[in-house]
Amino acid sequence: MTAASATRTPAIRIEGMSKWYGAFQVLADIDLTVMPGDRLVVCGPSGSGKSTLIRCINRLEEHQEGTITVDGIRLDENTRNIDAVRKEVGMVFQQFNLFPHLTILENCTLAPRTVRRMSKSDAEARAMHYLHKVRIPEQAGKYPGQLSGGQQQRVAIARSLCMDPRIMLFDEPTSALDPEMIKEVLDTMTDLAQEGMTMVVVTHEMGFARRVADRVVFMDRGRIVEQKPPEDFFNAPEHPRTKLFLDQVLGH
Amino acid sequence: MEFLTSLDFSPVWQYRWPLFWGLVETLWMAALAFAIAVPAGLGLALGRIYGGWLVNLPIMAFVDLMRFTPLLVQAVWIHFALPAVTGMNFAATQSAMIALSLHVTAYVCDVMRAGIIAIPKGQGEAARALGMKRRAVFFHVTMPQVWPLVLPPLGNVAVASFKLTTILGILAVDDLMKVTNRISTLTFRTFEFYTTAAVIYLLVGLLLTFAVHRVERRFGASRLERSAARADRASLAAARGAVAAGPRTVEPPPDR
Repeated sequence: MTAASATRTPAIRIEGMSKWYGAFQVLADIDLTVMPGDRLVVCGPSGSGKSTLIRCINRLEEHQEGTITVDGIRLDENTRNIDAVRKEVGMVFQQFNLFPHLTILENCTLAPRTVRRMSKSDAEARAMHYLHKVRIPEQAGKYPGQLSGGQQQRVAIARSLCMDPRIMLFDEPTSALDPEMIKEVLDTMTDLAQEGMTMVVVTHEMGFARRVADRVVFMDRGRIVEQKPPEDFFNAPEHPRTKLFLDQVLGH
Repeated sequence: MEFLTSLDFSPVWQYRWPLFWGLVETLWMAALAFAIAVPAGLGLALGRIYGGWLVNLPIMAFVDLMRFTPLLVQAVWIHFALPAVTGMNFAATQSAMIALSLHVTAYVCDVMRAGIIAIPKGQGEAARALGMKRRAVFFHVTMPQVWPLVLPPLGNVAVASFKLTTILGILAVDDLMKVTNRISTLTFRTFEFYTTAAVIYLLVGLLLTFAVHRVERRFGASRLERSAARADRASLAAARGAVAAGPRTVEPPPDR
């Protein structure tokens, strides 16, 4: 990190954060800083807490210890802060979670209209802009159930972008997709990264991590075990747990 | 054979107006009770889902009490015991309406609760992640998906509340059943009048069911799957609109 970047406000700053489900500790003493424009890939075995970690960043999950600060806003019980953070942070889910009762266009305009109080025509113009960007403007009048998984996930990305987020969180965006649809979603995410979007991506797509990430975080049992630039992470992993994981995901 | 030849339906026509007004009484009581029960039941369902145990427990007790005790007893409690406790006196029709509304509310509460918890958690999460507040999530994301789900069971409750009115004759309410009962004791044509009443209930029940089916076909859960053709036309129109509007629609949105 250069001296100049150290003086900027981090996009996300997590310090000493821990979380429990009852007596079970899912996240232990997490320290993580994401600067604006960073492209972070979080990986690790299932149950390692990576999804829970990014769900804490827009407070779909509460943390019990430590602090999370997003774009200078401290995440705590204060609903005003939570609302403010959610306006800045977009999220894409494994299961897309499009609204099945609304058309593609309406999926994209609902939040801008209800949260940002945008006019119908402005919201629709913006939605069409982002639907062009994810390359499915011709689907605008359809319902989510009529689209393929890959198309639905690209709509989900467009829907998030319509809120003009500064940070995008991706929670295993390709895990529910057929293999031939994974590429179209990863391409869309790569475009987004090239435009300078701050991204935190939980994924098992190691090829994407290698190409797009500027840092890879490896988690195991609720802890961050290792974080490195991708070339170091893949070529010179330090921790034995990381080596084992890489053997397993890259071995086949 | 002798029984059949002894039947005489001619007095039925003679008493057509009392029967008619009995049916009117039945219909408006059922309709009003249902109209009260839907919002009330929805409110209670929300209390059960989102309220703490302090809210949840009394609602659960109320619903079970209403569902597992006879409406007849509830009507008697409300008409005779409630005035003694509260000092307020209700007319028979008022007591009957209160009893029926409460009873139907309990069933609607269960239907609504099942409908709301059937909506996948991811829907609310996606909406909240987009910055939507609880109210907006409820009205724009949850409820529009709940209505198609609860429509068929709500239709059943509507038909049931229509038939439940027959019990309210225990109080001095002149619904169709009570009127039938009175006339039959007056004319000794018991079989003829009860059969006539049964035919009327059957016809109205069929009519209600037909209406519910119509509403279901228009708004029901199957609408989304069946709307493929319509959506294709819609997206075609949208695409044409985009072409007609020219490059304006592909301009980047204004910066914040």
